[in-house]
Amino acid sequence: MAKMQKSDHDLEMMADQIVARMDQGSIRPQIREISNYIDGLGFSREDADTLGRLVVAKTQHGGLKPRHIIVLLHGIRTNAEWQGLAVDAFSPYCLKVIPVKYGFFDVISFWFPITPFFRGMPIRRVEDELKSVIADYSNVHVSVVAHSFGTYIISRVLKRNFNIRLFRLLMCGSIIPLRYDWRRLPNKPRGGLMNDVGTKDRLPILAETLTWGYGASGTYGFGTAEVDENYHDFGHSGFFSQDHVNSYWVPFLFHGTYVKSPINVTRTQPGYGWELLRLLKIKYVAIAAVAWFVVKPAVAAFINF
Amino acid sequence: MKFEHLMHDFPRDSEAIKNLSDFFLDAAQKKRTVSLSFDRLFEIANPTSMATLARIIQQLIDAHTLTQVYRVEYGSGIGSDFKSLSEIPEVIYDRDGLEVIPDVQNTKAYYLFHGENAEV
Repeated sequence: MAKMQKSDHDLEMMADQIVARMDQGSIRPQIREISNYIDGLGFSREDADTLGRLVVAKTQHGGLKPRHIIVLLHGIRTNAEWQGLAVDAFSPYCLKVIPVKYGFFDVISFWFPITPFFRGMPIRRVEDELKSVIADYSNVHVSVVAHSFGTYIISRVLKRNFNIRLFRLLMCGSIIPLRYDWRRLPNKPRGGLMNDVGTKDRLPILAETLTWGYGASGTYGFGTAEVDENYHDFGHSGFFSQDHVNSYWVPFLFHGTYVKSPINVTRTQPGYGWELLRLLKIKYVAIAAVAWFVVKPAVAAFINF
Repeated sequence: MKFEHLMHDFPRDSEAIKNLSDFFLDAAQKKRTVSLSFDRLFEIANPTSMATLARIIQQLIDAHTLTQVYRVEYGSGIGSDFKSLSEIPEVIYDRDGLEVIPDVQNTKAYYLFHGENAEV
Protein backbone atom coordinates (compact mmCIF):
# COMPACT_ATOMS: atom_id res chain seq x y z
CA MET A 1 0.00 0.00 0.00
CA ALA A 2 1.32 3.46 -0.94
CA LYS A 3 2.22 5.60 2.05
CA MET A 4 0.29 8.83 2.33
CA GLN A 5 2.37 11.91 1.57
CA LYS A 6 2.96 14.14 4.56
CA SER A 7 1.95 17.78 4.28
CA ASP A 8 4.63 20.47 4.15
CA HIS A 9 3.42 21.62 7.57
CA ASP A 10 3.87 18.12 9.06
CA LEU A 11 7.37 17.85 7.64
CA GLU A 12 8.37 21.29 8.88
CA MET A 13 7.04 20.57 12.39
CA MET A 14 8.77 17.18 12.42
CA ALA A 15 12.07 18.78 11.35
CA ASP A 16 11.70 21.41 14.10
CA GLN A 17 11.10 18.65 16.65
CA ILE A 18 14.18 16.70 15.56
CA VAL A 19 16.34 19.85 15.71
CA ALA A 20 14.91 20.67 19.17
CA ARG A 21 15.66 17.13 20.37
CA MET A 22 19.23 17.49 19.10
CA ASP A 23 19.53 20.76 21.03
CA GLN A 24 18.25 19.01 24.17
CA GLY A 25 20.65 16.10 23.63
CA SER A 26 18.05 13.35 23.23
CA ILE A 27 19.14 12.83 19.59
CA ARG A 28 22.87 13.04 18.92
CA PRO A 29 23.73 15.31 15.99
CA GLN A 30 25.43 12.45 14.17
CA ILE A 31 24.16 11.81 10.66
CA ARG A 32 23.75 8.07 11.25
CA GLU A 33 21.58 8.69 14.31
CA ILE A 34 19.41 11.24 12.46
CA SER A 35 19.10 8.94 9.46
CA ASN A 36 18.09 5.96 11.63
CA TYR A 37 15.53 8.11 13.45
CA ILE A 38 13.97 9.26 10.16
CA ASP A 39 13.96 5.71 8.75
CA GLY A 40 12.14 4.59 11.92
CA LEU A 41 9.27 6.99 11.19
CA GLY A 42 8.12 4.79 8.30
CA PHE A 43 7.70 7.66 5.84
CA SER A 44 7.76 7.19 2.06
CA ARG A 45 11.18 7.49 0.42
CA GLU A 46 10.35 11.01 -0.89
CA ASP A 47 9.13 12.26 2.49
CA ALA A 48 12.09 10.72 4.34
CA ASP A 49 14.58 12.35 1.92
CA THR A 50 12.75 15.69 2.16
CA LEU A 51 12.71 15.52 5.95
CA GLY A 52 16.44 14.68 6.05
CA ARG A 53 17.14 17.64 3.77
CA LEU A 54 15.08 19.92 6.00
CA VAL A 55 16.80 18.79 9.20
CA VAL A 56 20.26 19.41 7.74
CA ALA A 57 19.12 22.79 6.32
CA LYS A 58 17.60 23.86 9.63
CA THR A 59 20.71 22.98 11.62
CA GLN A 60 22.93 24.87 9.18
CA HIS A 61 20.67 27.71 8.03
CA GLY A 62 18.17 27.90 10.88
CA GLY A 63 17.50 31.57 10.36
CA LEU A 64 16.01 31.23 6.85
CA LYS A 65 12.64 32.91 6.73
CA PRO A 66 10.36 33.17 3.73
CA ARG A 67 9.71 36.70 2.43
CA HIS A 68 6.27 36.60 3.91
CA ILE A 69 4.72 39.42 5.94
CA ILE A 70 1.65 38.93 8.09
CA VAL A 71 -0.60 41.93 8.74
CA LEU A 72 -2.98 41.68 11.71
CA LEU A 73 -6.27 43.61 11.76
CA HIS A 74 -8.32 43.89 14.93
CA GLY A 75 -12.02 44.46 15.53
CA ILE A 76 -14.06 47.15 17.29
CA ARG A 77 -14.06 48.12 20.96
CA THR A 78 -10.67 46.54 21.46
CA ASN A 79 -7.02 47.45 21.50
CA ALA A 80 -6.16 44.13 19.87
CA GLU A 81 -4.70 42.30 22.86
CA TRP A 82 -4.62 39.06 20.80
CA GLN A 83 -2.11 40.53 18.41
CA GLY A 84 0.78 39.92 20.87
CA LEU A 85 -0.03 36.21 20.91
CA ALA A 86 -0.14 36.12 17.10
CA VAL A 87 3.17 37.99 16.77
CA ASP A 88 4.84 35.37 19.02
CA ALA A 89 3.35 32.43 17.15
CA PHE A 90 4.00 33.70 13.61
CA SER A 91 7.42 35.35 13.95
CA PRO A 92 9.50 32.14 13.56
CA TYR A 93 7.95 31.46 10.15
CA CYS A 94 7.96 34.82 8.41
CA LEU A 95 9.93 37.96 7.77
CA LYS A 96 7.72 40.24 9.83
CA VAL A 97 4.38 40.45 11.64
CA ILE A 98 2.72 43.88 11.54
CA PRO A 99 -0.12 44.51 13.99
CA VAL A 100 -2.02 47.39 12.40
CA LYS A 101 -4.06 49.56 14.74
CA TYR A 102 -6.59 52.13 13.66
CA GLY A 103 -7.55 53.32 17.11
CA PHE A 104 -10.47 52.45 19.35
CA PHE A 105 -13.48 52.08 17.05
CA ASP A 106 -16.71 52.64 18.96
CA VAL A 107 -20.15 51.08 18.50
CA ILE A 108 -21.72 54.23 17.05
CA SER A 109 -19.08 54.51 14.31
CA PHE A 110 -19.47 50.78 13.72
CA TRP A 111 -23.25 51.08 13.38
CA PHE A 112 -23.45 54.28 11.33
CA PRO A 113 -23.87 53.19 7.71
CA ILE A 114 -22.47 56.31 5.98
CA THR A 115 -19.16 54.76 5.05
CA PRO A 116 -16.98 57.78 4.11
CA PHE A 117 -17.53 59.52 7.46
CA PHE A 118 -17.32 56.69 9.93
CA ARG A 119 -16.06 53.43 8.46
CA GLY A 120 -13.87 55.21 5.90
CA MET A 121 -11.11 56.31 8.27
CA PRO A 122 -9.98 52.80 9.30
CA ILE A 123 -10.37 51.55 5.71
CA ARG A 124 -8.05 54.30 4.44
CA ARG A 125 -5.60 53.66 7.28
CA VAL A 126 -5.32 49.93 6.43
CA GLU A 127 -5.19 50.69 2.71
CA ASP A 128 -2.21 53.03 3.23
CA GLU A 129 -0.48 50.50 5.47
CA LEU A 130 -0.81 47.66 2.96
CA LYS A 131 0.34 49.88 0.07
CA SER A 132 3.42 50.97 1.99
CA VAL A 133 4.29 47.36 2.99
CA ILE A 134 4.05 46.26 -0.65
CA ALA A 135 6.15 49.24 -1.78
CA ASP A 136 8.78 48.88 0.94
CA TYR A 137 9.48 45.16 0.51
CA SER A 138 10.22 43.75 -2.92
CA ASN A 139 9.08 40.22 -3.86
CA VAL A 140 7.20 39.77 -0.65
CA HIS A 141 4.09 37.71 0.08
CA VAL A 142 1.64 39.69 2.20
CA SER A 143 -1.05 37.82 4.15
CA VAL A 144 -3.70 39.22 6.47
CA VAL A 145 -5.30 37.87 9.63
CA ALA A 146 -8.48 39.81 10.36
CA HIS A 147 -10.97 39.68 13.20
CA SER A 148 -14.49 41.10 13.28
CA PHE A 149 -14.53 44.67 11.90
CA GLY A 150 -11.05 43.96 10.51
CA THR A 151 -12.66 41.46 8.11
CA TYR A 152 -15.04 44.18 6.87
CA ILE A 153 -12.10 46.55 6.39
CA ILE A 154 -10.06 44.09 4.34
CA SER A 155 -13.08 43.16 2.20
CA ARG A 156 -13.53 46.86 1.33
CA VAL A 157 -9.81 47.42 0.76
CA LEU A 158 -9.64 44.53 -1.70
CA LYS A 159 -12.69 45.78 -3.59
CA ARG A 160 -11.33 49.33 -3.83
CA ASN A 161 -7.76 48.38 -4.81
CA PHE A 162 -7.32 45.66 -7.39
CA ASN A 163 -3.55 46.29 -7.27
CA ILE A 164 -3.42 45.05 -3.66
CA ARG A 165 -3.16 41.29 -3.95
CA LEU A 166 -2.73 39.28 -0.79
CA PHE A 167 -1.13 35.88 -0.54
CA ARG A 168 -3.44 34.43 2.14
CA LEU A 169 -6.39 35.79 4.08
CA LEU A 170 -7.52 34.33 7.38
CA MET A 171 -10.78 35.63 8.85
CA CYS A 172 -12.39 35.04 12.24
CA GLY A 173 -15.53 36.58 13.73
CA SER A 174 -16.22 37.76 10.18
CA ILE A 175 -18.92 40.35 9.52
CA ILE A 176 -18.48 40.35 5.73
CA PRO A 177 -21.81 39.87 3.90
CA LEU A 178 -22.44 36.28 2.84
CA ARG A 179 -23.00 37.44 -0.74
CA TYR A 180 -19.48 38.93 -1.02
CA ASP A 181 -18.30 37.71 -4.40
CA TRP A 182 -14.91 36.13 -3.76
CA ARG A 183 -15.05 34.27 -7.06
CA ARG A 184 -15.16 37.42 -9.18
CA LEU A 185 -12.72 39.42 -7.10
CA PRO A 186 -9.82 40.03 -9.55
CA ASN A 187 -7.30 40.28 -6.70
CA LYS A 188 -8.56 37.27 -4.73
CA PRO A 189 -5.76 36.07 -2.39
CA ARG A 190 -3.77 33.60 -4.48
CA GLY A 191 -2.59 31.37 -1.60
CA GLY A 192 -6.06 30.67 -0.22
CA LEU A 193 -8.79 32.00 2.06
CA MET A 194 -9.86 30.57 5.38
CA ASN A 195 -12.84 31.59 7.49
CA ASP A 196 -12.86 30.53 11.15
CA VAL A 197 -16.54 30.38 12.08
CA GLY A 198 -17.72 30.62 15.71
CA THR A 199 -20.89 28.57 16.18
CA LYS A 200 -21.64 30.52 19.38
CA ASP A 201 -20.83 33.89 17.86
CA ARG A 202 -23.96 36.08 17.69
CA LEU A 203 -22.29 39.43 17.01
CA PRO A 204 -22.21 38.94 13.20
CA ILE A 205 -25.98 38.26 13.28
CA LEU A 206 -26.57 41.45 15.28
CA ALA A 207 -24.35 43.43 12.91
CA GLU A 208 -26.27 42.08 9.91
CA THR A 209 -29.71 42.77 11.35
CA LEU A 210 -29.02 46.15 12.99
CA THR A 211 -27.21 48.01 10.25
CA TRP A 212 -26.07 48.01 6.62
CA GLY A 213 -23.00 46.60 4.94
CA TYR A 214 -22.34 43.70 7.29
CA GLY A 215 -23.20 40.00 7.19
CA ALA A 216 -23.19 36.95 9.45
CA SER A 217 -20.37 35.04 7.71
CA GLY A 218 -18.65 34.63 11.10
CA THR A 219 -21.65 32.64 12.37
CA TYR A 220 -22.80 30.76 9.26
CA GLY A 221 -19.83 30.80 6.90
CA PHE A 222 -19.83 32.02 3.28
CA GLY A 223 -20.85 28.72 1.76
CA THR A 224 -18.62 28.97 -1.30
CA ALA A 225 -15.88 26.78 -2.70
CA GLU A 226 -13.62 29.85 -2.76
CA VAL A 227 -13.25 29.87 1.04
CA ASP A 228 -12.14 27.03 3.31
CA GLU A 229 -14.42 27.16 6.31
CA ASN A 230 -13.64 25.81 9.75
CA TYR A 231 -16.30 25.70 12.47
CA HIS A 232 -15.41 25.99 16.17
CA ASP A 233 -17.50 26.08 19.36
CA PHE A 234 -16.44 29.65 20.06
CA GLY A 235 -18.03 33.01 20.66
CA HIS A 236 -16.83 36.17 18.94
CA SER A 237 -13.32 36.24 20.41
CA GLY A 238 -12.75 32.60 21.34
CA PHE A 239 -10.12 32.03 18.66
CA PHE A 240 -7.28 33.70 20.47
CA SER A 241 -5.55 30.87 22.31
CA GLN A 242 -2.04 29.57 21.71
CA ASP A 243 -3.43 26.11 21.03
CA HIS A 244 -5.89 27.33 18.39
CA VAL A 245 -3.35 29.59 16.68
CA ASN A 246 -0.71 26.82 16.50
CA SER A 247 -3.16 24.09 15.48
CA TYR A 248 -5.11 25.90 12.77
CA TRP A 249 -3.63 29.28 11.85
CA VAL A 250 0.08 28.45 11.56
CA PRO A 251 -0.52 25.46 9.18
CA PHE A 252 -2.78 27.57 6.98
CA LEU A 253 -0.74 30.76 6.87
CA PHE A 254 2.67 29.22 6.33
CA HIS A 255 1.98 26.00 4.45
CA GLY A 256 -1.50 26.46 2.99
CA THR A 257 -2.62 23.44 5.02
CA TYR A 258 -6.29 23.35 5.96
CA VAL A 259 -6.51 21.46 9.27
CA LYS A 260 -10.15 20.45 9.62
CA SER A 261 -11.86 21.20 12.92
CA PRO A 262 -13.83 18.28 14.48
CA ILE A 263 -16.73 20.72 15.02
CA ASN A 264 -17.27 20.80 11.22
CA VAL A 265 -19.09 17.48 11.65
CA THR A 266 -20.94 18.06 14.93
CA ARG A 267 -21.85 21.75 14.61
CA THR A 268 -25.32 23.07 15.38
CA GLN A 269 -27.12 26.17 14.05
CA PRO A 270 -28.06 29.14 16.25
CA GLY A 271 -31.65 28.92 17.57
CA TYR A 272 -34.78 29.88 15.62
CA GLY A 273 -34.94 33.21 17.46
CA TRP A 274 -31.70 34.26 15.78
CA GLU A 275 -32.97 33.05 12.43
CA LEU A 276 -36.11 35.15 12.93
CA LEU A 277 -33.97 38.15 13.80
CA ARG A 278 -32.07 37.75 10.53
CA LEU A 279 -35.31 37.40 8.62
CA LEU A 280 -36.95 40.47 10.19
CA LYS A 281 -33.93 42.70 9.81
CA ILE A 282 -34.37 45.07 12.73
CA LYS A 283 -32.98 47.95 10.68
CA TYR A 284 -35.99 47.79 8.33
CA VAL A 285 -38.45 47.43 11.24
CA ALA A 286 -36.83 50.53 12.81
CA ILE A 287 -37.11 52.50 9.55
CA ALA A 288 -40.76 51.47 9.20
CA ALA A 289 -41.44 52.58 12.80
CA VAL A 290 -39.71 55.95 12.29
CA ALA A 291 -41.52 56.45 8.98
CA TRP A 292 -44.83 55.64 10.66
CA PHE A 293 -44.26 58.22 13.38
CA VAL A 294 -43.40 60.81 10.73
CA VAL A 295 -46.24 59.96 8.38
CA LYS A 296 -48.90 59.28 11.04
CA PRO A 297 -49.65 62.98 11.84
CA ALA A 298 -49.90 63.77 8.13
CA VAL A 299 -52.29 60.85 7.56
CA ALA A 300 -54.37 61.94 10.58
CA ALA A 301 -54.46 65.54 9.30
CA PHE A 302 -55.52 64.32 5.86
CA ILE A 303 -58.36 62.18 7.31
CA ASN A 304 -59.60 65.09 9.49
CA PHE A 305 -59.50 67.40 6.49
CA MET B 1 14.19 20.99 -18.07
CA LYS B 2 10.50 20.82 -17.44
CA PHE B 3 9.11 23.11 -14.77
CA GLU B 4 5.48 23.00 -15.91
CA HIS B 5 4.77 19.90 -13.83
CA LEU B 6 6.24 21.68 -10.79
CA MET B 7 3.88 24.62 -11.36
CA HIS B 8 1.05 22.10 -11.34
CA ASP B 9 2.25 20.42 -8.12
CA PHE B 10 3.03 23.69 -6.33
CA PRO B 11 0.53 26.22 -7.71
CA ARG B 12 0.91 28.53 -4.70
CA ASP B 13 4.68 28.63 -5.20
CA SER B 14 4.55 29.32 -8.92
CA GLU B 15 6.66 32.46 -8.48
CA ALA B 16 9.35 30.47 -6.66
CA ILE B 17 9.40 27.90 -9.47
CA LYS B 18 9.60 30.65 -12.08
CA ASN B 19 12.57 32.14 -10.22
CA LEU B 20 14.33 28.76 -10.18
CA SER B 21 13.46 28.11 -13.81
CA ASP B 22 14.94 31.47 -14.88
CA PHE B 23 18.10 30.81 -12.90
CA PHE B 24 18.64 27.31 -14.33
CA LEU B 25 17.81 28.44 -17.86
CA ASP B 26 20.51 31.07 -17.63
CA ALA B 27 23.03 28.49 -16.32
CA ALA B 28 22.05 26.07 -19.11
CA GLN B 29 22.51 28.72 -21.81
CA LYS B 30 25.96 29.48 -20.43
CA LYS B 31 26.70 25.72 -20.19
CA ARG B 32 27.70 26.19 -16.58
CA THR B 33 27.73 23.64 -13.79
CA VAL B 34 26.66 25.28 -10.57
CA SER B 35 26.83 23.99 -7.02
CA LEU B 36 24.15 25.45 -4.78
CA SER B 37 23.56 25.19 -1.06
CA PHE B 38 20.05 25.10 0.42
CA ASP B 39 20.23 28.71 1.57
CA ARG B 40 21.37 29.86 -1.89
CA LEU B 41 18.43 28.04 -3.49
CA PHE B 42 16.16 29.61 -0.88
CA GLU B 43 17.47 33.04 -1.81
CA ILE B 44 16.99 32.41 -5.55
CA ALA B 45 13.52 30.88 -5.29
CA ASN B 46 11.93 32.96 -2.53
CA PRO B 47 9.58 30.08 -1.59
CA THR B 48 6.70 30.26 0.87
CA SER B 49 8.41 27.88 3.31
CA MET B 50 11.57 25.81 3.83
CA ALA B 51 9.50 22.63 3.59
CA THR B 52 8.09 23.60 0.21
CA LEU B 53 11.57 24.28 -1.15
CA ALA B 54 12.80 20.94 0.26
CA ARG B 55 9.98 19.23 -1.61
CA ILE B 56 10.62 21.13 -4.86
CA ILE B 57 14.29 20.12 -4.63
CA GLN B 58 13.18 16.50 -4.19
CA GLN B 59 11.21 16.65 -7.43
CA LEU B 60 14.12 18.26 -9.28
CA ILE B 61 16.41 15.46 -8.03
CA ASP B 62 13.89 12.80 -9.10
CA ALA B 63 13.68 14.45 -12.53
CA HIS B 64 17.53 14.43 -12.76
CA THR B 65 17.60 18.23 -13.05
CA LEU B 66 19.64 18.44 -9.82
CA THR B 67 22.09 16.04 -8.25
CA GLN B 68 22.20 15.95 -4.48
CA VAL B 69 25.54 15.66 -2.75
CA TYR B 70 26.12 15.30 0.98
CA ARG B 71 29.75 16.13 1.56
CA VAL B 72 31.42 15.07 4.80
CA GLU B 73 34.23 17.55 5.20
CA TYR B 74 37.51 16.86 6.94
CA GLY B 75 40.82 18.61 7.32
CA SER B 76 42.89 16.68 4.79
CA GLY B 77 41.23 17.01 1.39
CA ILE B 78 37.79 18.21 0.34
CA GLY B 79 35.91 15.36 1.99
CA SER B 80 33.78 12.42 0.91
CA ASP B 81 30.58 12.67 -1.13
CA PHE B 82 27.34 10.69 -0.72
CA LYS B 83 24.03 10.82 -2.56
CA SER B 84 21.75 10.55 0.45
CA LEU B 85 21.81 10.74 4.25
CA SER B 86 21.20 7.01 4.58
CA GLU B 87 24.33 6.24 2.51
CA ILE B 88 26.58 8.07 4.95
CA PRO B 89 28.33 5.55 7.20
CA GLU B 90 28.72 5.93 10.94
CA VAL B 91 32.45 6.50 10.60
CA ILE B 92 34.65 7.46 7.65
CA TYR B 93 38.41 7.87 7.38
CA ASP B 94 40.20 10.85 5.95
CA ARG B 95 43.27 10.65 3.67
CA ASP B 96 45.54 10.31 6.67
CA GLY B 97 43.48 7.41 7.98
CA LEU B 98 42.02 9.41 10.83
CA GLU B 99 38.50 8.63 11.99
CA VAL B 100 35.78 11.19 11.15
CA ILE B 101 32.28 10.91 12.56
CA PRO B 102 29.79 12.58 10.17
CA ASP B 103 27.55 15.01 12.03
CA VAL B 104 25.45 18.07 11.25
CA GLN B 105 28.48 20.33 11.57
CA ASN B 106 30.86 18.61 9.16
CA THR B 107 28.23 17.36 6.67
CA LYS B 108 27.01 19.87 4.09
CA ALA B 109 24.36 19.46 1.42
CA TYR B 110 24.97 20.70 -2.13
CA TYR B 111 22.79 20.57 -5.20
CA LEU B 112 24.55 20.38 -8.54
CA PHE B 113 23.08 21.64 -11.78
CA HIS B 114 24.96 20.47 -14.88
CA GLY B 115 24.29 23.25 -17.35
CA GLU B 116 26.33 21.62 -20.12
CA ASN B 117 24.04 18.55 -20.17
CA ALA B 118 20.73 20.38 -19.72
CA GLU B 119 18.18 20.69 -22.51
CA VAL B 120 17.32 24.34 -23.05
